[in-house]
Amino acid sequence: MILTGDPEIFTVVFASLRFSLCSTVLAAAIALPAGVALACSHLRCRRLIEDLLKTLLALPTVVVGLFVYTLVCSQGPLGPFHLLFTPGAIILGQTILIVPLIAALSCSAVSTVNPVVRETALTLGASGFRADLTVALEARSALLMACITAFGRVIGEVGISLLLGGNILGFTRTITTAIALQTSKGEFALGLALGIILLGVAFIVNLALRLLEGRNG
Amino acid sequence: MNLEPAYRIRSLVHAYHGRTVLDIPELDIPAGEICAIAGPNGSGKSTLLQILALLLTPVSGSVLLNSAESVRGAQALRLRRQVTLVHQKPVLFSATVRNNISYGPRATGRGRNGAREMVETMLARLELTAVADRHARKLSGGEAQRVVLARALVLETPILLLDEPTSFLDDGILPLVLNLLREANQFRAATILIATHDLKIVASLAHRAVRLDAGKVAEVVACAKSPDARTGGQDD
Amino acid sequence: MATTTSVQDSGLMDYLLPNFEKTCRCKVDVIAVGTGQALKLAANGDVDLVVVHDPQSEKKFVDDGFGIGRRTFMVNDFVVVGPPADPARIRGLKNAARALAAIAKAGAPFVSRGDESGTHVKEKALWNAAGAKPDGSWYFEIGQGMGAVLTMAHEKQAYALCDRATYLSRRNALRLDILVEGDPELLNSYSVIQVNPARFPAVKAELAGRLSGWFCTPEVQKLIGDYTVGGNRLFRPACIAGK
Repeated sequence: MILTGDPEIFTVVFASLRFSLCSTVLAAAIALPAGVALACSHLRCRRLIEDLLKTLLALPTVVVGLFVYTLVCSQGPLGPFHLLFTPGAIILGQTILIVPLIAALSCSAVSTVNPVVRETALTLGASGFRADLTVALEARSALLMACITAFGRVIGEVGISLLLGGNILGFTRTITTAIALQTSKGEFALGLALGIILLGVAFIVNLALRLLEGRNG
Repeated sequence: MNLEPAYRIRSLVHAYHGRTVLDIPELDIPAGEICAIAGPNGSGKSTLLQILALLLTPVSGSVLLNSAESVRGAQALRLRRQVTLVHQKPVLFSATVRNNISYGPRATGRGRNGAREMVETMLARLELTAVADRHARKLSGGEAQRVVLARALVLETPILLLDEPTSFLDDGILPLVLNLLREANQFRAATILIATHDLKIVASLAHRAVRLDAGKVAEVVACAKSPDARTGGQDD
Repeated sequence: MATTTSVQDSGLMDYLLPNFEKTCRCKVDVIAVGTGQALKLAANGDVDLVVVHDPQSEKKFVDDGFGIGRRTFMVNDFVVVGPPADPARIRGLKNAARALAAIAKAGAPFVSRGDESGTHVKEKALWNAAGAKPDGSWYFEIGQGMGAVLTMAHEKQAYALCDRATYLSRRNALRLDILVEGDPELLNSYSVIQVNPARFPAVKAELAGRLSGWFCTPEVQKLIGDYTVGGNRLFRPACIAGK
């Protein structure tokens, strides 16, 4: 089925990829600077914030989905924007899901950079801000790994996609919601095909992470 | 020599985890001299250099650098840019040799073009032109050491601090390094402080030696190279 | 027992079955899925009996030898629901197919179950009769149960084909009105079929047979007829011995 290029599979796979890429990019734009800033700061409550982030990592997707649902449904504060059951809602939910993940991982990545790097940057004339940037650049491989990990998290999630997207054919149907749908219709072949594709994506993600790790360490 | 000392240290105390690491009531480092900071491990040499590089704020006391006190903000940045510290275990940035060496010039606002000449000169001086575009992690030990020095020297800051340079420099490179330091001192009156317990350096280079013991200044001696000790003749 | 999500969503089974469980001193596990999967589960011998509402698939199921003792035991009807504003102007039409044609022509939003359930099959038949193709950005095929369809229709102020029972049980929370009803094409009949023990010896044939017969006892038929949600009757008893 994959090889014959069933068009429904393609729409669904591209939808999943599109949504997950958008949310990963959005979340990275927010969380990378936040994580780096947290690592470079000397806030007294820094430990507290890190613990909070780690708790948020364990959020189940359905909980995030439910939370965003209450925001975007017609009675919610974002109701007038009619986001519910559109790709926008899915991307919003997924972004919220992985912001803590990227922030925690990037904070951790920057923290493990040799402290001599920051001091060297400073002594060579860099301002504090520029020195922090240099430290972040030194950790760029690990920061990229954080983003890839986040991508892997969202491409395989179903709680948010189903609750917020509604599984609308050709619009908000993703690999995971399609798998959920097909099995309840009794059509296992399509579900299996999609499952294999999802496994393939997960494999590529892990391969990318492994390669980066090799170059890093 | 300048009348103003490079460093005027008063009532300097630094503690770490409740242990007093430095306790220097008074110390002046004259400008334009090469001064060795000697002492056993744990005597506070590295901590002192970090404080003098304005990378570490002491618990109490004052450090006047060229008669100016370090405060926060732009003034602190300006002062810090007058000193360059080479760490005991230096780290190269994850970038090419050229980008490592040009880091300082770029960070201090000279821009790519302004930096180019300085960088090329330094590359040539330390025989690094051949590997200029090689990534730092692909360098041999000796090449990496030379890049560390090039990176620090290219800025030609008035004050240069080196923390135990022999700990990371191979014996073969040492003469080159000592020559460079001597040049910097003679041709642009750079003030150089070297934390070391290598007596060869002290003997061949230093004008003055400060001996630290458990964070306190035990003695300050003028060395054979010192202008005070010189009888008017030239160095060898 | 496998049944459809619309039956489960109406709450009827939760209401009736405890009575049966008391008399037989057994427990009935209800699995609610689309008609398609309910019949597939039965065809695999994974359940002991099914309650569905798709006469065509049911007949095929029995003809293929998977089921025995088919009994139609209750009916209700479908309605076309939609936004009170009714942009496609179908309110009061007596012909469901014509209403769908109007919706397609107006390109007004329509939410479909898209899951091969009894409701979906009926909907497809109506599009066919209307000569309209449900295709375009106004048509939302979501592959989920009746409850989800109503939620989405409410959120999007769209039309949908819905069984009266589910609509009535959720009416208070939805801003949707019944716009078309009473068309004979919209009639919906529910049957109970036992899974053939000759095919699947492990099936609990005795209990399944008792439950199937129980649906048609006069007391239960009366209970079905009297079952109301929010003051509305959802089903009409209809026991006729099946073929």
